[in-house]
Amino acid sequence: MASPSHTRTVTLKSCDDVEFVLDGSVATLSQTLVSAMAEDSSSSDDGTFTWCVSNITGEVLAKVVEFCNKHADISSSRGEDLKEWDKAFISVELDLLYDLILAADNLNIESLLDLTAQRVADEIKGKMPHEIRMLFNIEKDFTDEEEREIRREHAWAYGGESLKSFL
Amino acid sequence: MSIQPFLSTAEMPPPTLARRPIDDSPPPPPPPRPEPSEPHGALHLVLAYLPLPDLIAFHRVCTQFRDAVAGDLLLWRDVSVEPPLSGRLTDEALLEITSRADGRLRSLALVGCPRVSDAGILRVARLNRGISKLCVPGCTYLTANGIVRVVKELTERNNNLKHLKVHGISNMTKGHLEVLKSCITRNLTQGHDQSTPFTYAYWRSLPSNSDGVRPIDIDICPKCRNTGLVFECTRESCQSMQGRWTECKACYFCIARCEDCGGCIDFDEPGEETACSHFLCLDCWLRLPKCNLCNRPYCERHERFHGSNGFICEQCLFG
Repeated sequence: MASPSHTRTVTLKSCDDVEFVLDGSVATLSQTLVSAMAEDSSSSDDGTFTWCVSNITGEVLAKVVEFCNKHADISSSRGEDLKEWDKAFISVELDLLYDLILAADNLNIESLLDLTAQRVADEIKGKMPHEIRMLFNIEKDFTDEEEREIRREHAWAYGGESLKSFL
Repeated sequence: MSIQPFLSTAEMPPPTLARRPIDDSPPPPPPPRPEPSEPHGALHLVLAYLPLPDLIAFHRVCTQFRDAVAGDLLLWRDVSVEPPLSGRLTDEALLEITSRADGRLRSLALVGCPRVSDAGILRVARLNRGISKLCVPGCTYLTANGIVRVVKELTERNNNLKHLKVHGISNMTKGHLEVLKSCITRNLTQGHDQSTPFTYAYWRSLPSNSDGVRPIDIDICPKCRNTGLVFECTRESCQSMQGRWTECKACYFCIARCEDCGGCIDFDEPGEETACSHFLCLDCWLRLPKCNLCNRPYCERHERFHGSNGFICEQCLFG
């Protein structure tokens, strides 16, 4: 019989074999871990639970664990302070941000996904398609015909586009 | 055998930081940008966080995103058109963006879209009967009769419509409002949360496309008997005196409200003059920072000129 998730200790193992030990209460932020622990009936007597995340590196997992520890600690995580902390936490390179988004999705940590994806969404805000391609280094792969089609669609939203290109 | 001095001045190496001639070779080119490639998988998870203009921009980025944006109807279930897109939204465009939800539109918010007509919105309502939230504030081409027809259409067979935001629609009479109320309240299975008073400050704090606490945003003003946004007072003195509080409930035209706290303004009080065009009550007037030259405060909406050591208001700055 598995012990309740919040009393157990969880060991998270990254794909490059870095281990992190979390309190059960911290691990409950991840819905993936919650359901995995609920299904796990082969719990050892000392109440530890090990979970391998095959596609997250130690560097990224360290950030995820840092986030979970901060957000599970109710005494320190209050209002404005937490917002400031979150802001500093996501001031990272785009590549790490991508990895954090994928890790948040993989481990199903809603608050981390909201935070990281919103940060990227804020970056995109108000940009034109060519600016988005520049920002994320994406190749434009439309054929001429597709290009015409895509310009016709949503043309209403770009009423001022032709004028803008002159300015 | 003579001992060589460790480093004689004659053998000193030339200074390494020799001054470069002015017309030296050009500075090294910046590192080349990596070759454009396939978009990162994580960006697909970001799509759900994008507002409409950015979603449309993403649709035009590359084939992968075009297919991802067009193919995921969940991204299109809550449509919100706000300025600056509002002025460009036509009936055809509205039909096009709402059709992406494949008849499963959940909420429609059109904030100040002057080109959307009664017929256009009725067509969307007929195709999406599950709409639970309809916000059309300031859509000046819509008429009160048109709104009533849309709401009847939505509530006739389904009972999903829970929120309606219609302030700024012209010629909305008491009769129209009665019909709208009867349609919506028929839908409400449980009593709505009335605990949050509907004050001017609260209304201002809401994003323009959100629903707020009441099923219908407008009401009948107890003073002028017209329909419009009816605010309660935030002043403690007004709230503690039962009679005064009900007397202090009216639309913005009957009782002016302080832009900052939402309390009623007594025009006998001195010092409400502001550097912006809004009214402030005496308490807020005293509290807010003043222009260094004319000593008038800005309300918080116009605070952008603030520096670390006070500010000069727009009027003083530009004459």
